[in-house]
Amino acid sequence: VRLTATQLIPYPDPEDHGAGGRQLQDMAERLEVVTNAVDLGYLARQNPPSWIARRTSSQALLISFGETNDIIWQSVDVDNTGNRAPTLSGSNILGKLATEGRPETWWVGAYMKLSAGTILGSRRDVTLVVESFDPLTGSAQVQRIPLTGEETNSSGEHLTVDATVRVLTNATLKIQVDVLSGITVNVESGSFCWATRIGQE
Amino acid sequence: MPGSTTVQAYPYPYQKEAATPVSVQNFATEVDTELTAADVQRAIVLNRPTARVTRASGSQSVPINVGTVLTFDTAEWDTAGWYSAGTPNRLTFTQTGLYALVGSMYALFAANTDTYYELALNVSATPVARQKKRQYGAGGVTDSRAVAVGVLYRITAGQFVDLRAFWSGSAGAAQNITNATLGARLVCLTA
Repeated sequence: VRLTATQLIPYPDPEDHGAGGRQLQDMAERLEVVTNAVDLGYLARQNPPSWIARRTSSQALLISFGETNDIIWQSVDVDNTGNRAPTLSGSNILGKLATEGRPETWWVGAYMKLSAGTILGSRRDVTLVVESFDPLTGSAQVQRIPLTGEETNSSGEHLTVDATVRVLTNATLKIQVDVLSGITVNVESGSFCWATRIGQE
Repeated sequence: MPGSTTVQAYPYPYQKEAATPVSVQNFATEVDTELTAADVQRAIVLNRPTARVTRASGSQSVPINVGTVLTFDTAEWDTAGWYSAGTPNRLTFTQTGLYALVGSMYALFAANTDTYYELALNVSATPVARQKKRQYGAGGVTDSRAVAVGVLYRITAGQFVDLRAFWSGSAGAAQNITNATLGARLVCLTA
């Protein structure tokens, strides 16, 4: 028996003088493995792991110099990721990316509906925090990706931010807000975050 | 008795039988069927439905403190027929799924005082996400008046997406919106 070079599909040796039922069965069983893998690959790409989580009530963002507030996500609208994402209810985690042993790229973002401020010129910085670890050293790695720095206004704020991230290993994502000056504001009900995988290497 | 594989149902004869032309033909036919089905799946993966519409000519007046749904006159691309000239202010979807939605606009005239520009992304007339931008118009300082908003959002078949522009300030004439765009792409079929 010989095998094709790439997909290892068996076929009779020229000295076998033609294929019998056994050879055809071997070929069919190998083709089954190959084509089934192709089908599963397409299916996975049609439905990339994705989730959307939101706030269902207000959360106060407090002023504390040099400290940040994690947005707490309360309910999950969409989660087709199986065991990839944790339960987000009551969690400050935007999403947990469980990679499949290969580097992955994700599109993540959030819409934040903030309550009205009363002091013009107060500011808030919004940062995406990606926590993972280096598989070679086992040490933690933290990426801080600035998303926006906005000045408040007197009629409420609406911020929509997004970024793409590439992770080598399992990672945890958070959206943090640093209230730099002004007054305490609330992240209102209706604010939501999302994440979806857009690439796998 | 002849057998077949469990998932793809590739047929094969008895182990001790010779492979006849008919058994090889049946085998080839089933492989052909599976590969054709795989081609269909590949096309779905590679060619996600997507569209972007723009306001290519003229401008649209937006009065102060009045939310105004933007209209578009040109479909730059529209692979799934979401845009209709009869309802030029929306993209209407035929499949349930998760969609990447992006909108943008640019206000033509400077305001005369501190001004806030806001762009709301609506799903079937309900705002789901907004972007708000402050512009300092006083003292001759004019910041950019471009605003964009983009999200991943769950859409059910039959729903539409549109954009609403809003601006506020102490006073001022209607603003003209130019270069507005609305785009969408199907990201995930399960939602």
